[in-house]
Amino acid sequence: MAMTITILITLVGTALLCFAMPRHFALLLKRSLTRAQSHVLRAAGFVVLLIAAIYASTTMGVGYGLTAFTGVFTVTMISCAFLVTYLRGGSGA
Amino acid sequence: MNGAFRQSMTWLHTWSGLVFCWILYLLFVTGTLGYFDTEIDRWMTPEVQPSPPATLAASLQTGAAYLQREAPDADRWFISPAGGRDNPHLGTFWQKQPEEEGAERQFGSGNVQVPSAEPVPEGRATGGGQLLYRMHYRLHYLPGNMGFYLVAVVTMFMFIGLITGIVAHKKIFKDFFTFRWSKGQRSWLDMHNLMAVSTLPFQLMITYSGLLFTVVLWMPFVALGTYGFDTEKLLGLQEEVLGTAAPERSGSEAPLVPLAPLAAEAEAVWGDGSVRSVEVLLPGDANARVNVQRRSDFGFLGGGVMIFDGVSGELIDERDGLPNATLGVAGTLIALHEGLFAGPVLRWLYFLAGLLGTGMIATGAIYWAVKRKPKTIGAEVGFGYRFVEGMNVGTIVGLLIGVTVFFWANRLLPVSFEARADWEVHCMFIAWVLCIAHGLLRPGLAAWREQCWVLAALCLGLPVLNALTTDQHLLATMPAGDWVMAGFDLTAFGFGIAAMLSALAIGRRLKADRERPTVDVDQASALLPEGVSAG
Repeated sequence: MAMTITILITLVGTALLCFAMPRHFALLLKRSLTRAQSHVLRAAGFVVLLIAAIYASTTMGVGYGLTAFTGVFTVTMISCAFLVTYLRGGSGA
Repeated sequence: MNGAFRQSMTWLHTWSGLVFCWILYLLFVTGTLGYFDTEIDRWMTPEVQPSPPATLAASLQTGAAYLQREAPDADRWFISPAGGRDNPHLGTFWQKQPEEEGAERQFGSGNVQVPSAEPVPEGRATGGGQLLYRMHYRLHYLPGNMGFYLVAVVTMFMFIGLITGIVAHKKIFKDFFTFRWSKGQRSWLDMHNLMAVSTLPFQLMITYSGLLFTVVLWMPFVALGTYGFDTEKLLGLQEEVLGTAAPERSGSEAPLVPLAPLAAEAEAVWGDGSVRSVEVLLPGDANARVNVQRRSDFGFLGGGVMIFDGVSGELIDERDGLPNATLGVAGTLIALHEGLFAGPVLRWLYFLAGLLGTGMIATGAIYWAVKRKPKTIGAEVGFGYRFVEGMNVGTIVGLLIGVTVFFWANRLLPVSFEARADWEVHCMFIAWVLCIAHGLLRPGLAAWREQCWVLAALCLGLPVLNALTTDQHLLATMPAGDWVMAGFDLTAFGFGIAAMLSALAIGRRLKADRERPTVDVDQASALLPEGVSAG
């Protein structure tokens, strides 16, 4: 259960970081991203990731939790990157 | 940052990466598979089932009885009760002094049934997952420690590649999510960057901790300054550092104390299920010692030990946790590298991170070739480019074919064939060499497509072959909830699908290339003004 929740929180954090990218934001929300919005999304993404790391280390133990969080972050990051590419229809926008 | 400095780092990253990429790929493929070494062992010896659960007391009593029978005059016994992923059976190990001065120490080991103290029936002879795991730090076929030394050097270059790659990167945050599909060399670079950036913590950890394994090789004078060139003393380095130095043999015999009560005493302090193993030094001697070792996330460096007198059973010393901060750091990094503490989900995350690392090396090698690919039809293809392209396909797909052939050989070589364990691995390397030869002889994309089809056929056929040659096929293992056997077959099936999709994608690309109107370089040159080349 703790691992599932860690995956979900990390996914939200990674998605926020992904939204902070101008092209990804424009693709997903059909409007352009302002500099302020980018900063807010990026900060929110890092805060949520921090929450995921803290949650993982308190529920699974510091060493195990942080290792698990790092692994989950890697997989969610690469999943987001490929998913956005897929949503673009391979146009490479 | 200074542009010239970044440029020189890029140069170092490119060339150190290229020179060692194929051997690094081997280390990553075998190391990644090593995270499932015991699961692969199980698949490769389908005749051997894990031992039924037994109490700690019965396991220790049985182990001691077995070792007393097999190696009564040993200097050291080691008993590791069955339990968890890493110990499917009660494991025993013994070590004794050489019979002649100057000869090597003698070792022996065996898995034992509880309570009969009879050896666990051996399955077919196979290198198993352990062979792949060992290959990632010792390679194969090389004499002595040469493979280990070579891996140490390659690991250092991997570390250099990582550091120079980070320095060469201008926009690391942007690469978090950037992957531009179907953009030629740009796509390969994006893929390389994405895989590198997403797994950067894993890459840094795995490489730096990999260097720690070879620290004595890289910094020999620290140990030599303390121990000189006395190899016997050097062998005792670890025991001395860990504070578990061996006692001196007294020469007078004394019966060994029963081990179970000592382990129970340790469990009373550490908690149930906390005893990992029991080591007996000088069994049968009046100076015998019993080290009860605590289960630990820190692997072989240990997380705690209780030292008992092996005759009276009196507690002599007790240590919990690593003895000093230096060992704490080393133990943490080595434990992270080996991942022995990982449960099923985290183990899969390790495996995925390893796969992405493997992909990072592969895409880096492909990017080098794609970037230097001649842009016009008929342009001269240099030997260097052709060699790298052939080695890329022959290693990136060919090594995977070799590993799959290794699994096929396990099922197809006769069980009674004496040298079958050796021939399993010979088959793997023969397949790999043939793939390299194929990659060098066939044109680029055609070679990729053909090898991907071969890989797909081998991977998709593996569960079928397993069903035809054993009774532990998917229709039996999945209903029984045997996810070790089923997981292997399903993973092979997944790799087969991925290889098939890759082959189909390359086929489409080849078809598109054939249908695209092309201009020969000589024809193009004829149309251009004098002095301008099409090549």
